Amino acid sequence: MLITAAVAGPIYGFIVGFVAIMYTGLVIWGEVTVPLGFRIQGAAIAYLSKKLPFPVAGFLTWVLVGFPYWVTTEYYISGYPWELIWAIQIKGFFNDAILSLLVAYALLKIPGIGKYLPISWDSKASRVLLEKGNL
Amino acid sequence: MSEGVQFEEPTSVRTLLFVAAMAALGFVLGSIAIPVYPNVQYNLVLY
Repeated sequence: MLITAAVAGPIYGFIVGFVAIMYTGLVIWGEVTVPLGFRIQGAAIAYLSKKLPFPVAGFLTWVLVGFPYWVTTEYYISGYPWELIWAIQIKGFFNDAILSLLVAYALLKIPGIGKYLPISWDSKASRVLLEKGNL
Repeated sequence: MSEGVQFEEPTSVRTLLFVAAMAALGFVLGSIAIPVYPNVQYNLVLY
């Protein structure tokens, strides 16, 4: 989702964010809000990476979009107790804001990877990918 | 920002194939992550 958003833009990030979490979010957890949250984050990182470096955009996506979205939906829609919400957010911070981002960043750091990616989204990160071959 | 940077067409076959591949990869990884990496949401479903 993060790579697709950086390379191909918000619409494709939106789509991949939904498909990637579809089975887990809808079937296993039974939460309609989960795929929507991933879609919004997939779109947000594409817009934020227009001006910001990729890792900063990814981290800010979680801080500005992901965290408020999850806390709001988990409290008002899913009705989780606060202890559980904070447990999920602490997990989410390491998972979404650090681990997933580092994996995506490391993959985009592979030398020459930019030549093989269909880069259609004009952003700071994608221009670096096109000109240098990697982030 | 230098000009002369050639962007791919957003609707090109290459882009669509890439998006489909990433979606499929995300779907597979996302679906097998739960059995090998149980988390708090999963435990909520159990109890």
